[in-house]
Amino acid sequence: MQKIIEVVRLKTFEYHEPRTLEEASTLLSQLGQDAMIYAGGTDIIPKIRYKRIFPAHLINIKKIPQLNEISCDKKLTIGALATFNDICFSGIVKDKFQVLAEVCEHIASHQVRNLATIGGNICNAAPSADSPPILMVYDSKVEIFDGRQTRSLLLENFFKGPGMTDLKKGEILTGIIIPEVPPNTGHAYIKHTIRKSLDIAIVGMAVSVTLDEADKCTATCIVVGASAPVPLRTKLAEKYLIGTYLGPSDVEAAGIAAANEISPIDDVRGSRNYRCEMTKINLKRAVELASGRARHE
Amino acid sequence: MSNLYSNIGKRVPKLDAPDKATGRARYPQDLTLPGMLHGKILWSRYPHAKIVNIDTSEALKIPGVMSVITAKDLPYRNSGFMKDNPPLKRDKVRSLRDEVAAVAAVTEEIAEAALEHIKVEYMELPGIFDPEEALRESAPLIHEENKNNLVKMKYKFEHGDVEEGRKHSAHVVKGRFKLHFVTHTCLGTCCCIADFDSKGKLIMYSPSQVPFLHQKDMADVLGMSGSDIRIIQPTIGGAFGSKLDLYPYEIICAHLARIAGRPVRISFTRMEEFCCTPTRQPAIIESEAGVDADGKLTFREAHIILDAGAYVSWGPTIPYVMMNSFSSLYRVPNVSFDTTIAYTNNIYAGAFRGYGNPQGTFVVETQMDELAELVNMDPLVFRILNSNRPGETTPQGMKVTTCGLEECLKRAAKGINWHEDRRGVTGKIRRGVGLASFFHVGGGARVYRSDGCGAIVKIDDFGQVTLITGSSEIGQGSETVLAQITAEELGVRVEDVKVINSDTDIKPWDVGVHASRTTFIAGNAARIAAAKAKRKILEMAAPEMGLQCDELDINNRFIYYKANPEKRVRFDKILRKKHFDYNGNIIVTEHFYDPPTQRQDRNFKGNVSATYAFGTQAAEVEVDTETGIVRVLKMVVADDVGKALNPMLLEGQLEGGIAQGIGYGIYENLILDKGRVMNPTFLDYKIPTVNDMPEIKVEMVETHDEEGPFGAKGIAESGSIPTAAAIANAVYDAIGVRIKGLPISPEKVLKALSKK
Repeated sequence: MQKIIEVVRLKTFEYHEPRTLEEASTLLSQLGQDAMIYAGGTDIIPKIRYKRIFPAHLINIKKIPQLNEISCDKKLTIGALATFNDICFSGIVKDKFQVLAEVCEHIASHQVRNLATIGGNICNAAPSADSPPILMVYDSKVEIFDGRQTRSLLLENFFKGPGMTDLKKGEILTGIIIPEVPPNTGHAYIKHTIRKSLDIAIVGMAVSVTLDEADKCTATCIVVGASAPVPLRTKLAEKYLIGTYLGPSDVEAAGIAAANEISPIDDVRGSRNYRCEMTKINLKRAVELASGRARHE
Repeated sequence: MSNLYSNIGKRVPKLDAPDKATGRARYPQDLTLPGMLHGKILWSRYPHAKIVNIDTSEALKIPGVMSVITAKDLPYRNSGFMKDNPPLKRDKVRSLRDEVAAVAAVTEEIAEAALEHIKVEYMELPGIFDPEEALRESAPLIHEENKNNLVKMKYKFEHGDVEEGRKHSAHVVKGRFKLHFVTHTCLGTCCCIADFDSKGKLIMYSPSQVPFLHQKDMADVLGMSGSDIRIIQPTIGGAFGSKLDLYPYEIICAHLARIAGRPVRISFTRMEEFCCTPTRQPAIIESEAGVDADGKLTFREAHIILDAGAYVSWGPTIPYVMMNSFSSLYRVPNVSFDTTIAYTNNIYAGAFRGYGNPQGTFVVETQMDELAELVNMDPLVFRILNSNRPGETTPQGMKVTTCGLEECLKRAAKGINWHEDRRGVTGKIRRGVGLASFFHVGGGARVYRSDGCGAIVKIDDFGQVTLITGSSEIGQGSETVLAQITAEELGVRVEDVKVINSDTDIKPWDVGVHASRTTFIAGNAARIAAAKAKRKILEMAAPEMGLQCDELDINNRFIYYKANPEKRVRFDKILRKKHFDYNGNIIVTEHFYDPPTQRQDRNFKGNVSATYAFGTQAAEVEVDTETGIVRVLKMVVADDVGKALNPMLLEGQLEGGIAQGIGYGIYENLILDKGRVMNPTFLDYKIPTVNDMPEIKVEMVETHDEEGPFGAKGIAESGSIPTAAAIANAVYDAIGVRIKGLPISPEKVLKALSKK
């Protein structure tokens, strides 16, 4: 029977169920590179089944209490274990961070949204993920616990490449903090897909726009998904909008700048060229939506 | 008309729906036999390579592995239409889905792990992935025994004089169309169980849609007699043509079971289903068509280039049907059609709902719109002018008896508001409408010597009717419709009829589920067997009731006196009495229905079907001119169904067909790169979701076919035939560009717009 175990072990892993964050972090440090944090499992399990990853240890953090809570006192705090359905059905989120709720509502399928967590979506660090771009334009920070203390980091600085993050040995992402939305600020996210649902973004375009009383753009944040190794904040493009009235030529110039900043690949979902073109089109459409919402408030 | 019948024309829900909805239905994956092993196949690592050596010794050492086989363990017997496909590959591999070795083990996990311990030494060969390149002289040979890569199959059809037609044309259109790879995406992946009994006879639990052909093919390839092979069909999770051929995995499964001496199941993963099953036949079609100054078609000329893939399955035979789109969809006096078929190192193509007709119709209907524009006619009027009518014989000798095409065209156009002016809609998002029709066999198709189906009707002491039919249920709803037909003919209720259809040891012979033939052929067999049973019942009842047979009828389970319906007796009472009487008797009747049709001759002429189905689909689309994304807003389908036996199932079948047609038109694309499937998941192989499906309006045109059961025609495949063509025509209407390759992807739309 020895041989069976050897062969089959290639596909199995040890499972851990810590009850506290400290315990989880200690386990993660001790087990080293072969260990992975397990939350919703909607990314990890298919990857194991398709033999893309071979973790020796999975550390399920879902038994740790309170990590899925959503609370709001001006700033919004979302626990890393909040599922996308927790978020899109949350009254607070729907009320004050409406676009975030809408984005979460259109991620994957209902069944996946019941399991998949926002922390997992961020830590999986897929360039095409839907939640990072919109969280970034909401100016979100992530909270990271290393077993002793918590540090916080702008989400924008968290991503290091496809599947790569700023998390260091023993660190666990515990929550997301979104500051209060400044007045006269609107948000938009356009998920550019072939199908209306159950699809992955060819380009994800998140935009925030803040206007003054005269409808001049005083601040903006533009993040493009699925078009660079990380969800990319296109700061050059933003410069073309700040201080303008968001006229067609301003927005077009910003679109061209964004298309130059991104570095998309050719793949089965779309060509590099198509992604660049769609970045321009969707930037225009997202700015229009976001500025319309900024004026509404 | 509808109150004439008590079961026909009623919206009877599918009889198998509750089991499927609640999870009670037993698919092959749900079956486990005592001692059953799990088989796994080692697929080729290269699209084209010599096999230098296979070492299975390490895999055999793994406890739990019961047998490992390679070509050396098998006799030299190939399968496939051209008998060019060995179940396990001997000296070389010709595609990435080539079977190299197989393992049977006590669990699926062990079998899978064992595959990794089989060492195969390959010598990679240059591959060829394009049918036109494959025919160049310098191309590497895929089957060395042939002197080139040409598949020795030719579908050449000539009628009239194309040159003469060209001379009389006021306008001619010419185009090169490219049809892509798509796959069936059956919910139930390929799965079979092979089990030898103590006498050495083989029982196959198989999702085959042609069990009797399967039995014969299996016998040939295993060197057994057909009578030694029993095919049992568990609930089948979709087929759509994909289960029309015998595949190597099934033969491998039988060999593993024989060698291991235990039952073996092979079940494909979803990824295997995408990578290792046949596709719809891709095609390059060069087509020309002409029209005279009055708008009458003058000629069609088409040359078809097909990529068979590495082996010939059913794919390369589709010109047999595709030819009909060119010769018989509209009236055309001069036709020339021929084919060039090549081997490549791609995965091979098979049968898929429509069987070449979706590809052909896409070309014919695109060119109909182009010609209408050139001759300055409304595409609707132009189609009506050239449409078939009852009494027509098409250039291929197909005799059109009933034909509601003109009405289908009119009703589809009306349903989509054809004459509404959509040009007012300007800006980035444009709207358009398009029409496309189809022509397909509707009364069987005599492609084999027999196009028949057997039926047995047996009635028990309690009045339960059992219909044992040769036909198979693959999800299309045949069980329900056959129960309705039987019930109607006998004068009982649908719930009184039980349908047995899943075991070749029990059921009488049938060609199988193909060519939209089951309702028509199996329906007629059931109807006539039921009529014979009814006659026997009335003969039993007449003396009991003191009346003549002809004075009696059966309705709602009662035998009654036609002149005075009050005088009646429950029919099961008569049956019981006659059963237990001295010299007792029971009711068992049978009928074998083979339609009055001809096989086509060498020139592809002959009336292959007892009737033909027609229909039209109209699409309304919205095109985003900035992103190139096409959304279908509405579809109207008007089909000449002969008679709607069950409007609910008919709607479901047409709507399902349209979902596949929309997939074919704008979403689905099995992307191959050097023979490798690049998108083998439902994430990247995009079938339309419920949110992508538009409103579908179904119009049933009833022409009451004389030969059909209660007037019905077969329409099973039709839903997916003209959809892509209608969408393409609507896209042209919206944005003024013709997309001549499928799918109509955003990038193609933008590219075409930029060239406008």
